[in-house]
Amino acid sequence: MSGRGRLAFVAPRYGTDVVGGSEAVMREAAHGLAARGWAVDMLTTCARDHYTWRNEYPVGRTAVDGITVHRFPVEPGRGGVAHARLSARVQAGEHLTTDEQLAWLDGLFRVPDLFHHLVVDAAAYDAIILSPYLWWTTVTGAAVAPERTVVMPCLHDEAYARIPLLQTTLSAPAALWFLSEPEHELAHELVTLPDHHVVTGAGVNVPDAYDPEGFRARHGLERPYVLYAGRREGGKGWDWLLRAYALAVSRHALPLDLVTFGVGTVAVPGGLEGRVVDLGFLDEAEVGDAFAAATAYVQPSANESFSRTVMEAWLAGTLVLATEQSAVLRWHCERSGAGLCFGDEYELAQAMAFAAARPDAATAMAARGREYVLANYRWEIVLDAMERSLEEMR
Amino acid sequence: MRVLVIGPYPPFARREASRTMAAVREQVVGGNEVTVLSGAGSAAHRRDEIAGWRGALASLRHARGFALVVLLAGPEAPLRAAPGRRGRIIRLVDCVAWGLALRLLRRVTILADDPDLIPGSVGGRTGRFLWSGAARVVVGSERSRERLLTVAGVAPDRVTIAETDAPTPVDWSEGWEHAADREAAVSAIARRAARDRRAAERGR
Repeated sequence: MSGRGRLAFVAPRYGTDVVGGSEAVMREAAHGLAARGWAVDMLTTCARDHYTWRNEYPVGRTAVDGITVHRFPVEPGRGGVAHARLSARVQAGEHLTTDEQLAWLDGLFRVPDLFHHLVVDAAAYDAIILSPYLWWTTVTGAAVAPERTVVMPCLHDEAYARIPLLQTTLSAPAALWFLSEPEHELAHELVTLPDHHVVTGAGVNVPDAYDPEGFRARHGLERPYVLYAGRREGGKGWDWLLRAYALAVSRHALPLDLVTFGVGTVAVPGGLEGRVVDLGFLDEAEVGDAFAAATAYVQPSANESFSRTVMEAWLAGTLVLATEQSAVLRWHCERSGAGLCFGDEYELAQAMAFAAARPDAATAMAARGREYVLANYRWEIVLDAMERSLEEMR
Repeated sequence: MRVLVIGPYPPFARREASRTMAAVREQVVGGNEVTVLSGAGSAAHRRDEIAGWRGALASLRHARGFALVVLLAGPEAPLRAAPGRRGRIIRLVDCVAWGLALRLLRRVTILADDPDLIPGSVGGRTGRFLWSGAARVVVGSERSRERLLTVAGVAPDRVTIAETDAPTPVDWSEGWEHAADREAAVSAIARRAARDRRAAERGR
């Protein structure tokens, strides 16, 4: 038992092979605080894949690098077509009744054993930290011991953020940890926040060194490329990026391939065979090299609360091209002076052309990005902010 | 000749709308009387569903009295875009609905710059049913024509390559001399993108 106190981190998925921004922040924060002397339990599910929520890890308790991981089985949702209809209504801005909101929440998955654990053991924890705001684990978990609950919402401007049931995760807990100032401002627009809320940011691990040439050789990447990393799905802008990239190639004959890694299916459009390279899921040790070897990193997702991959790109000295539809990405790019925002496919094509034509200017810009990340988002800085918040809650 | 052009139209879907406007201009230059059917909120003469099975029904309803229908095919219409298994079911329904509509309408020209940019439309029985229903398909390249002939089962005499649609390659590497810092780069990107946008709207 630690002298600092006991913490429960509640995340819908946990593991180094789990792809997701909030999951990565929760995992690394849990291990970081454990290394600083906190006793940390990670309460999570047996699911690895957020598309299927299938139970893939074994149920039970294991010790992982200084924390205790408790895995609980997922009960699949019975949403089906009804859930899809409710989601469509939410996206259309319609109001759902309370019963409908609950049906929507139940529609994907439930973890009643995890909730039961919290109900029984909540008093054993000095703080219960939940993330992100819209999953069953957070919405239900936040109701158990709100006076000791911290929610890290990972909020972005989307229709789900306007579901009243989900907004209770912003208004009810003792404290909120935001990853960026635009996320903080958005939360203020949505609900009345608890007094205790703070922009902690999210930490990024700083690699000791990069090996871009070795990475190119290992993966047979002979031409320069722009990179996209993460979830390859419509909600993250992937489909749009493919179309925009096709336009850039056909209109400008750009000499840049599009390389991608992460989860989700990559259906390469006809005409782009050999120009779009899917590396699948990359080992964590190779991720930094993938960024360092890229001419530019493209972030087309409007749904960002922090954007860890943008930080990884800047750390690797790589220019960032980001959609201006995300207030968070605009904020990072303007604050750092290290990224270029694009409003449509024509601007993205020209931004890629700039990166290819002026590598000297692109490198100089990206260097400011590295300074920005080191000044704001090293884990030591973020963990200090989290610990100050935890001490204030006592 | 009275022609009904169906496709995305301003103020939405900027790039797709520019293709529809180019098709309208081409028909007008050819001496035809053109009516445009597009989605709600658009600047078209007639506004109705243009995607999915509802779009197929609407096209049947609106096409009465027209000698020719020109249908713009892109990523959002006439097939609806949706992810996952639900998306595949939607795509199947839409292919069947539009395949039937094309056969009932008879005189339909589909303008599909690159059919492969319409996810899931090329290949499979429903895809073949869709494409083979058109009286004529105009594509942007020889490769697209080959795909429609070999994979989508369209008769060779029904597929032609657009004569003027090929974009003029713009040299990507020139004109960046003054973009030495972020401010200058942002300005140059905006200026060059605006030029590209105008060119696309002119159909080049």
